[in-house]
Parts: sequence; C-alpha cells; structure tokens
Amino acid sequence: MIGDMRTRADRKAQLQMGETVFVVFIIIIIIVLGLVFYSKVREVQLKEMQRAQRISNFISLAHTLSSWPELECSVKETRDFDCIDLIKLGILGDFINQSKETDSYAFNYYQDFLRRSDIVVREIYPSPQSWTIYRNPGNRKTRDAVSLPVNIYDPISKKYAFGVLELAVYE
Amino acid sequence: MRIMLPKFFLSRKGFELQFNWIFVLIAGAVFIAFFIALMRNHSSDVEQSSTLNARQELDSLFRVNRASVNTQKVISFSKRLDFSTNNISGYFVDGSDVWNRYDYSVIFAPKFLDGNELIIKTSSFKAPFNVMPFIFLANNDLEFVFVGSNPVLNDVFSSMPENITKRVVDGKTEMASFKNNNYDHTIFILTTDSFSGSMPLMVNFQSPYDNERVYAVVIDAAGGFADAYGQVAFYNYSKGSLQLEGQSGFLGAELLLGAVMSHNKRIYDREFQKAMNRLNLLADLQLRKVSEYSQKTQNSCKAYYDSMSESLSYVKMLSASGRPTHDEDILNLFNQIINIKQLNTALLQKTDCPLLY
Repeated sequence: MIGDMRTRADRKAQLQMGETVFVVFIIIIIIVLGLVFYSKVREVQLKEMQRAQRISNFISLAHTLSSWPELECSVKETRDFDCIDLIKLGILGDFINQSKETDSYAFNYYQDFLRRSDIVVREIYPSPQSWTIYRNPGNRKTRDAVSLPVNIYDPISKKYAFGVLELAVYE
Repeated sequence: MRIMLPKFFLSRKGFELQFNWIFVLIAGAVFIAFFIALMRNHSSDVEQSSTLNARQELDSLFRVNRASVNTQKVISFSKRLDFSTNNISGYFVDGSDVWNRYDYSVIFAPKFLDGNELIIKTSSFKAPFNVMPFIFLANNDLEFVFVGSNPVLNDVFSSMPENITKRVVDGKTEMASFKNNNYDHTIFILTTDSFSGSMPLMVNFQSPYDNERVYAVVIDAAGGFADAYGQVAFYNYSKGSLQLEGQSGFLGAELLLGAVMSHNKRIYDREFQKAMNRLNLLADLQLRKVSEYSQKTQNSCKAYYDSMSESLSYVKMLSASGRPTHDEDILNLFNQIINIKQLNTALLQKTDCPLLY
C-alpha cells in the first residue's frame, strides 16, 4: 500500500513537471511569435519611410529643375517660371555627354545632382521633337516618373512652344 | 543507530517543490533580462531613428533650398551640427555615425551649431547670370556685433537673416568693453574704415573658455560697397586676443555675407572655390549659347556677342580650378562680370537681339 502511494506521488510529480515545462515552452513560442510580428510591422514602417524619402527627393529634384540656370528662360533679365530656353536645351545634352567622356568637374557635378534619373524634354506643339538631357538609369528596382508641362521659348524667333519635361528617378 | 529523516525530505514531492522554485527564479531572471535588453535596444533604436530623421530632414532642406532662392525660414532642430573645416565639405549630426557630404552645394555656416532651431536663408549668387543658390545657416546662439556704421556694414546688416542676434556698437572702445553675453559665438564685423592698427584687447573675454568663441571679420570693400569686390580678413580669439587667421577675396554681397556667416577662413575658402567651379561651368555653357546666337542672328548683333564671348572666356579662365587667388584676379573677374552685365543691358535697350540672360 505504501508502495502504491509512492508510485502515485511520483506520477503526480512527473505530470506537474511536464506541465511546467510545457507552459514555459508555450510562453517562449508566444514571445517568438510576438517578436516576428513586431519585426514585420517595423519592416513595413521602414519601407514606408524609405518611400516617403524617395518621393521627397524626387519632388525636390523636379522643383530644382524648374529653376535650373542651365535651362531656365530669362526674358528681359527676369526669370520666367516653368519655361525652358530652346538654345540651352540644344546645348545641355551634348555638354553633359561630352563631360562624361572627359570625366571632368561638370560630369561629377551633374551625376551628384541628377544621380540615377532620366530627363527628357518633349515638344508637343507646334512641332513634335524631343531632347534627352540626361540618361543614367542603372539597374534599379524602383522607378518614379512625372511629366511636367513647360513652355519652350526660342529666344531667336521669340516664340513659345508647348512641351513636357519628363523626369524619371530610379532608386 | 538508524537516523530517521522526516518523510517530507524523503518524498519526491518535496524535492519537486524545491526544484520548481529554483526553476521559477531562473526563468524569471531570464525574462527580466530579456525585457531589459529589449527596452534598451528599443531606446537605442529610437535614438538612431531620430538622428536619421534629422539627417534626412536636413538633407532634404538643403536640396529644396537649392531651388528656393531668396527665402528665409526657421526650423526646429535640437541636434548639434558640426561642419568640416578641411577640403571635404561635410556636416555631422550628433548621434549619427557618418558625415554627410555636400560636395556641390554651397553652405556657409560656422564650425558648429548647437541649439534648438536652425535659421536658413538662401540667396542666389549672380555673376551676372544666375550661378547657384547659396545657403546660409545660423541659429540664435550666434551674436553678430557690427562695429561702426557705413554703407558696407549697413548692407551686410540688412542682408543678414531675420531672427538672428545682431548688435551695433560705435567703435573700437565699445568693442573692447563689449559685455560677454555667453553666446556660442560672438562675431565682430568691422571695415577697414573703422579699424586701424591692431585689434583691441577684449576685457570681458579673458577666460580660456572664450577661445574658439570670439571671432572678427574685417571687410575691405573696394569702392565702399558690399556688392562689389574686396578682401575679408578673418580673426579668431586665441591666448587672450584676436589673432589674424588669414585673408580671402570676395566678389559680391552674397560671398561677403558668406564670409561673415561662416567667420572661418577654411570654410569660406572651400565654399568660395565651389562657387567659382560652378561659375566656370556656367561660363562654358554661356559661351556655347553665345556662339549659337552669333551664328543664327543678324549681323548687327554679332558685335555684342563677340564682346560677350571675350568677357565670358576671361570669366571662364579666371574662375578655373584654383583661381582666383590674387587681388588682381578678383578685380579682373569683377570687371568682366560688369562688362557682361552692361552688354546684356545694351542688347535689351538698344537692339532686338536675344539676351544672354
């Protein structure tokens, strides 16, 4: 009889120890699941911050291009907003390409300023034509693009044309 | 004799009870250590995130301000900013582990800014066409003291950002007894008219802590106008008196303001050179533009364009890498810029020819 009582007590103790171990195991699983969930949420937040930063850089570049001395019109010594000088347009693309070959200050300047982007100006009216100012896409996953309406001013004939500035930024 | 131990200690139930308590203690200690480590990581994460946000915000501000000329703004910024004084343009946000570079932007700021806000002003540098925007940075912990009054000092005074601490004293005597208001930097601005001989002894700035806090900028503007050219002498406080750090040239009111805002010869020289590099690039583009005009317009315009080409070639040569260094270079550059401006005005007033800018 004493032996039976001892056996029952042993089994009860073993069951309780097993139960304790099982509870601890479950708690660890819950904590791990919590950490995984937190890291996923954090990843989404970081991606959203990256996207916001990318859009901010993109908007600032578009804003800067609209008042770039290399392209801006000046009529009677005053700045004309959202206006591109046709003569400067013809010169700038060739100038940037030439500076690429000579690896000069100009090339480094434009690469630092424009980075991974494509800038194309298209005349829509009256005579469709286009100028590629800068092309440096690289192998990037993300591409953000915008088309900005601009006036294209010919300072020689003093005539305006309508066009778009297509800006694509790669990140 | 057989010793009988109490049954309690012989049974496994008692043993299990003790074992449970030890297990609970160990497990509890592990959990507490885990959560403490998690909290520390989280607070370090938040600090790094805040520093990263500050860096990105500043970087965006500098980019946006490249396009927004003639603007002023005050933003909240509670982190310390350090600016490099060597040949590499960079700024360091406190708490970050990298320097941010700005190799092609021109930012005039003192060696460090440590306060609760940043005052940002942008202004377009023209020579005489738009060259690039200059960004001027300051905060309310800088004190600018103008010694005397004349057109040059008045021009610099009025071109400084609003919300900045500016004071005026009559002359060197008042400068010598100027009260130490314990600002991060106290900068005295003088012209060669109001300054002769040596710098006065600053009686209220005799503590060793005043080294690296007190500066002076002495302006020698040709013709007595800020929007011309001239020389700027930089002084810093060392061993109880203002010592000459060196002299540099300036060209126009924006560069003069840059000299005052940075009040550091090495920072100013580096930013000045960047402005000249950019002027060199644009002069090249303008030369090509003038050449196009010359080919495509009527003969009556050619004489103007030929003169412009000559002046632009001089500007390109004088702003080439490493130049201008001498007074004569700065004078020649200034004269060519004036010549281009006059030619453009003549094109506007007397002809129907396309303008350069």
